[in-house]
Amino acid sequence: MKFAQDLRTGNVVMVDNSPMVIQKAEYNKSGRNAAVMKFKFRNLLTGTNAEAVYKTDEKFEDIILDTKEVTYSYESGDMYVFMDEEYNQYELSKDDIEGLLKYLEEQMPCEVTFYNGKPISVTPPVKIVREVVYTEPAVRGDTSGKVMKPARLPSGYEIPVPAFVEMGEKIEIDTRTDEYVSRVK
Amino acid sequence: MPHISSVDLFCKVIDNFGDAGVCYRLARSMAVDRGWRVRLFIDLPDVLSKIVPDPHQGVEIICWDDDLAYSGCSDLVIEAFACTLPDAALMAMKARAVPPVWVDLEYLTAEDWALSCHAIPSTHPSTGLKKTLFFPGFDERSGGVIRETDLISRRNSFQNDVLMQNSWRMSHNLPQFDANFIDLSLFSYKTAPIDGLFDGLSRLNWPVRVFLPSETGFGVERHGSLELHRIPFLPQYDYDYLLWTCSLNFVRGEDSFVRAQLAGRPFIWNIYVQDEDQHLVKLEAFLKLYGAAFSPLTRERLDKFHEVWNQGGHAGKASVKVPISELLTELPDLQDGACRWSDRIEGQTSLLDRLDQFCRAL
Repeated sequence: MKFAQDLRTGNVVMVDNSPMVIQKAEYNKSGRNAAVMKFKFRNLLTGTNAEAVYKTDEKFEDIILDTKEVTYSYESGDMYVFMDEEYNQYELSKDDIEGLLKYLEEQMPCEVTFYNGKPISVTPPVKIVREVVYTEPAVRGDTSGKVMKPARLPSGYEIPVPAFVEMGEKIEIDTRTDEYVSRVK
Repeated sequence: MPHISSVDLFCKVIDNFGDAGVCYRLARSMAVDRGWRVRLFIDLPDVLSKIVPDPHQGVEIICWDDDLAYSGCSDLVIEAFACTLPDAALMAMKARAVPPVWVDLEYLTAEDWALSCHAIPSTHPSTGLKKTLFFPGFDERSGGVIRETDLISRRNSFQNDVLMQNSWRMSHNLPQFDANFIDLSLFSYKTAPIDGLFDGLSRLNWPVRVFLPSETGFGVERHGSLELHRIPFLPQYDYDYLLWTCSLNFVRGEDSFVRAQLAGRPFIWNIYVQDEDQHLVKLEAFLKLYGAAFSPLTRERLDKFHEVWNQGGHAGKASVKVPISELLTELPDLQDGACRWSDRIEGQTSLLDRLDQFCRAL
């Protein structure tokens, strides 16, 4: 069993007796509200998509499927191509890797998951390092890390970072929660 | 989904009165405004006695303890604030011929993410039942706020009639309305820089009366321009009248925060403090929305005041200078903006309307 907060893009869980692959996972928390996970699922039996929202402490039965270490190679039309050590190529659609697009870079190591021999999803590393390509100038004196501002990654995706982070710096990101972890020197 | 006619609402009291207050208010509204059969399962029913001396009005209050014998699952089951339903309730829900609508009523927030997570029926992984997180808010796309059907007409009648206000004040040992005074109500957490506020109020060029509901009962103190009236803790119903008769209300948490907005009077919000200052993000989201109802200068002063009022606790109360004089200078604009904001909320459907609509659409 896995808690909802531990699930991420590419994981497969059973929901109402159906295997569902998580195509996108978003973590949200504020004030007194329960922390929640919003998932975009694809039902592996019917191929239908669904959105669902759960408290982070909800338990799921996860399914262990075959996986393989790969790296991202290139985009071809609407398909994204990943390659393993033996140069086998695996094509996945934009929908299959929606939650991954914001971090995708050439040669990025990932893990492809297979269901009935077919690649169904790609999971990124838990921690990745990306450059901040744009953010407002750093606020002098504020080193608390509590005041946040948006920072743009090379993909165009923005995440909140502490006010002291500067443009051009590299930061570590937790891909499970899409949260800033630390600066990387 | 068939028409809703019965509701089970589960509530666990974390602290203070807010959780119980919101749940009772919603339960009462469902019973009175819709005529639904409502059972409120609450772990600390005694908390209700302070805010609702006569906690019936169509609501059956049931003590939720380890001995709870749950039966007769209703059409709608509301799990308030992620309180986690007892196993007996889950079993009864699963066994029901027509599964109930299962809603997790969350805390009110103006944050955008809540809109994207609101009202999405999701298959519960272990029971197979559909469960939906319902986020109250201020946007048409949110779950709205609780507003009884007769609230606005009662408020307007009261606010347009000084005699009625004075009569209510007299029955609660409060001084009569006097245009020479600015009347304030004060309800806050201990983290707010209250001493700093009193200090600022005592140094004004015009007289101010503060009505402070407290558990220590009556008492009047005078400090310079400040006249402080300690009054007994008011039940929900009477608290509305206090908000309606004051020129500025200090409120806290969720229930009084919503009532202050519906009072159509300016207010200052003392938000419930969370670890890692999570509450400040929530506060900022609200002020961004609320501030649009005011002129730039008033908005700036409102933001500044909220910053001090909600972060003053960090610096130590005694040393905090609370900019109340600057805020009160903008009172006419604050009043106009409060009316605009209240009109906006009143122009939307209530939380209960949206909940009903959601159930019917399933």
